[in-house]
Amino acid sequence: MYKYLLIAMITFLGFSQLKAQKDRKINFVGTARSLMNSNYLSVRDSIPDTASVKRNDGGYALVDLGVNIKPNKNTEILGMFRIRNEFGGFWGSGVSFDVRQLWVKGVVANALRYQLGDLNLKQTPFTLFNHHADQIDSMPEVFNLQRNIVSYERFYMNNNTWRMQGANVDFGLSFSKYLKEINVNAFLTRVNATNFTSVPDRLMSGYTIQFVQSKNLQLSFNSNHIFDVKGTVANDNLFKSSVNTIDWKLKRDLARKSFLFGGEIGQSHYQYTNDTLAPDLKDYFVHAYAQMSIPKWNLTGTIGYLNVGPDFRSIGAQSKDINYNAVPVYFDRYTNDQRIRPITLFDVVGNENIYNRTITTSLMSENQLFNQVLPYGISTFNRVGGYAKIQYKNKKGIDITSQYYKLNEIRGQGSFALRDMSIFKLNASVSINQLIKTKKLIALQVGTMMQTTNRSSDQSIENMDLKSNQYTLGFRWELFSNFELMLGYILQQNDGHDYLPTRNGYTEITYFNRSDYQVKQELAAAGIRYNFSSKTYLCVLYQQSKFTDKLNISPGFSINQFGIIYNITL
Amino acid sequence: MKKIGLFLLFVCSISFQRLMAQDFNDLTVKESDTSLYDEVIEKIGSNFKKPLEVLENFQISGYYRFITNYRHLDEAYPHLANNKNNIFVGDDSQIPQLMLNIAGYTSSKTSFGTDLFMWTPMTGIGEKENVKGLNLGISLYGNFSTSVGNFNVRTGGINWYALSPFTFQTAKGNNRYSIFERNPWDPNTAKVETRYSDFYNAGAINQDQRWGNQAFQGLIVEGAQLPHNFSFSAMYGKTQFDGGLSAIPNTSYGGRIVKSSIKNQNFIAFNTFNNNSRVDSLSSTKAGFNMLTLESTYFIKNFKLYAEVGAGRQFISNNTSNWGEAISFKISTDIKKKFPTELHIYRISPNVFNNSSVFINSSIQQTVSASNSQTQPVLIPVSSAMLPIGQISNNRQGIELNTQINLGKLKNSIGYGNAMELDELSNKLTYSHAFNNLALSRFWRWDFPSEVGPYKNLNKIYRSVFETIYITETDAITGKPLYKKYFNTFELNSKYQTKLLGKDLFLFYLGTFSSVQNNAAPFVVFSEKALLRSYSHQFETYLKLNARYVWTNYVGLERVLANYNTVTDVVSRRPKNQKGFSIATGLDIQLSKGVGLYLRERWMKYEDMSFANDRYKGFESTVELKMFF
Repeated sequence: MYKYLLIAMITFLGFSQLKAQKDRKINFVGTARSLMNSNYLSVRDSIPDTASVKRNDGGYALVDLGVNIKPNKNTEILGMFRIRNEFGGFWGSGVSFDVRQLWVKGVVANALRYQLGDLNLKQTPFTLFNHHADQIDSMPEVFNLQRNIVSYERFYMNNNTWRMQGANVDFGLSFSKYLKEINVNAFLTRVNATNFTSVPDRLMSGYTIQFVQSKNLQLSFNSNHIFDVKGTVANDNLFKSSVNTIDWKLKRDLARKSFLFGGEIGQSHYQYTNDTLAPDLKDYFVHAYAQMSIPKWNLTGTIGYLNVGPDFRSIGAQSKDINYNAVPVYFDRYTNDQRIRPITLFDVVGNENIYNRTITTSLMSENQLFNQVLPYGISTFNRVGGYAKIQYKNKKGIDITSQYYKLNEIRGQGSFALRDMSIFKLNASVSINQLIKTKKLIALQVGTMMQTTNRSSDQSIENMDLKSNQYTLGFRWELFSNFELMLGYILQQNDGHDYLPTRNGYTEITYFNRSDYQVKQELAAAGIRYNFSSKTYLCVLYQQSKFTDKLNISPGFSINQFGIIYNITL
Repeated sequence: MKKIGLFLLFVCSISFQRLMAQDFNDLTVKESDTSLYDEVIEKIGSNFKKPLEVLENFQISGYYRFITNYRHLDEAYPHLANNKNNIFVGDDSQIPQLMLNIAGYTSSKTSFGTDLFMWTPMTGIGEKENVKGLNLGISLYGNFSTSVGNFNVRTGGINWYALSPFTFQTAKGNNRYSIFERNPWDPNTAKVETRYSDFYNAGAINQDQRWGNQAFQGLIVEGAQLPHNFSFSAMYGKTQFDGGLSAIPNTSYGGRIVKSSIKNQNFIAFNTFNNNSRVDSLSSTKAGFNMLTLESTYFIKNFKLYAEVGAGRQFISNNTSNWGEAISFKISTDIKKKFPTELHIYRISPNVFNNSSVFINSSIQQTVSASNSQTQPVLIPVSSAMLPIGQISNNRQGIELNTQINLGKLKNSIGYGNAMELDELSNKLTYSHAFNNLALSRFWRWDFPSEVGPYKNLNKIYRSVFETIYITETDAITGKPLYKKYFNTFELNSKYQTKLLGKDLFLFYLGTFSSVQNNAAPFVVFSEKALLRSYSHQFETYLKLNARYVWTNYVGLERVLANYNTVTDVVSRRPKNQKGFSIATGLDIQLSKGVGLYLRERWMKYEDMSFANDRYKGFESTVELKMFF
């Protein structure tokens, strides 16, 4: 009797604890960061620069404090506000308060999931997708410190989503025969709010219906529409852009090899309802690939075909994360003439000012210094060709990936001749510590990317030839427990010339500007980091960047930066 | 056996609960569409793959402080002539009405904290006038242990920190002060009379974390328990004197390395603190200072020997001053185990400048040597100052003797100071008015204006005002005085506890006697030979009426006299001849646990017999409600 009483008591106490944990309705979530930096600019110009600010210090400390409320097991609310104080602000000066995010998510009738408020959305690479097209694939870890901060600030989540505001629902249906399940996702977001006079409300809606026949076969219908809402302003000229696609994946395992055949095809329609000047753009795309994995050899190979029509427009997929017209946060002007400083590697790596949080409905400018072939990722219009990838990745920490793209234009731009383009990428990372069997991390990563664009025409003025080469080198060494030395170097060279199109608001080309390049950019950094955990670290960092334009179209300059970053993330 | 078995079972049940609680949290991650979360990495639509990780330890504490003043002046300074009656809600020296201290612990090693304040000025406008903000700001903390030592990191917002007295610290004084007026940071005590009994028994009251420390914003790294008993600290960032939101570089940096003894409290340390600022928009002109010292404490028999010896210099553009010496030497002992006594000898060159140290600057024009991007407009006196014992200045050498003589229940803290200038640099003398300092500082709200008052010779600093007078015997060309100045000070702080009608009664007296003259003197000069004389008496009584009430009373008297070698009034043609009188009463009421109500009513009268416009008379009522949570 006594024994049974004891067992009952233990069981009761155990479950009461469980219930207490489960029933906590309000929790706090938080992230904090402190960043201080000191920057120095030196200008190499024929006229000594006596007008520019050469040094600046800055930084901030911020807390993102969220209240996570679970009124019941099917509902969750997050309200997060940000408190930020600028470095140097004493006794309350330089303080700002913002609402960082607010959303609610839940399950209705045990079947339908919904989310309302701030969302991170993506569909397919041709409908809604953040390609991060200009980012460096094998970014040395020392530079990732800053890039991760940018990603956090812009809600990039490292998964190709775009931050939107609206509503999202998804539900699934399961079957016992012929079909395993059907998953449906639909969303409606607001892209632009009306100004009640000339700018209408602009919304984006989309849905994906995914048919999963089995774990080996799935087929999806995807649709993405951006449209102006009639009646929100007096103007009856409404914008509409729609993209409809079908994508598929078929897997097979044969002879100890895995095969995947996949692809996506679709069409787009871009129009204004009542604008005689606006073009009515309709086009299609085809993307198909085959992948083979040989686990025994740790190899995966892919070949693919890409055909994206010259009038294919997909705002959700062709929005760029970097706005090259934005003002850099450090030293926005330089030289005695106070020119606008060009955006360089230094900014691309760590300047959140130039990054977009969400999609933009106008076609954003490309920057040939960083991406001359696929500035909008694989959804870049006016491209046809093929690509191949091969990856070797073993359990001893060796990962080598090589990619090659060979593409042409479909329609000439300013010429009947077509551009030939190619990209070659090779990235390798080695965990040396695994090879030599030590516990402390030693890792090396190298990468290269070569882009070429050329065009030969009967009219010599139309000829163009542009080469871009990028090399990266990164090294990490865990000197003491959780103490890491990080080194990184990026070299980028652009040589040649090209004709960059100037487009109007309808994405039509109105002019061409010849751009000549003999540009060299270097970025080197060294840092020491202490890792409190995988996401919390304190780092001291020194970075040097150098921009050289042999043609002196933009005078050369160097920016040296010393920084201290303390990042606490849950 | 049975009992042991039961005990083991009990321990196992607790462990089992905790284990199950952990496992249950993991189960909230589910694949199906019937839950909030899913495990699948690549998922169409919205992407929240797993539950948010929560702050397991999240704390909010703080206080609410409501304070209001009503002031009526029968005679007012000219700038208050149209505002003889004044109502002010709040404390412009420290705004917070509701102060929240928020701390989140992300792990056992890392945490962050911030404060958040709210204030409603109650002007009737409503929410538009309400103020919110941060006081100290957001700070991040971390600590980690390694095989070579333990390390702490602080970064982000304002932290109160100290190195050595000459490098980075504030003067702590000798605990001779009036406690009648409360500071914004003064806590409520568990018993209503604790503030006064502590002052009587321990000679000090509970001070805020800022006591003796300076405000610093930036990175502070500390290492302790290093090999061979070393420890260190390093700091990089800004002080409140070189703060500012401008991007023009303006940073302070420093640190210390300490070697401690295993057997006792002896130590030796190397300290440094430096500032490097740019003073123009192109950041081409540098200004700043360097300070390096060696510091040591050594115990020998009943004596404690303390020394800090170092050098400092300041620079602007390409002009760097010579290094100047900074020496401080203290011997402390407990004479006959009854009379704790400390002798302090110091010397600080006029070339030494450090606005974050215990010595004030009286030799170098601040606007020239420091950055102009300050956000804290605290005016540091740049002249020869009549200072209380414990507060030292550069361009000075001197000796201070402090002792405690207790005669039964009568406890006496006595201080003697004798100092002289090293170079005759300034024809200005500054001093303050102890009898009514806080109330006088409230004549100007919000800012820290200088050269105000009816004769433009008053300067407001934080919760205080100092006055400037000029010496007339100066070199016709350089404007510098013809002689060095000598300073004498004597302080007596007596405390007595008794009972009145069976209630605890505390009686405190603080007398301060100071003189400045142009020749050395062994003691305070009480004649017209002194350029300036200042005598103040402050009497306070605190009667504990019952467990919830303390009746407080105050009487302050002050005389300040200058001689004819200082500027005289154009009308009366006489030098300063100032009298101040203040009488106040009040109540400390403990409304409930952690909630205190403090009432003060002060009548004040001040006049300068020579400078006719320098006078005021009136009263000030203060109500303060403070509660901690």
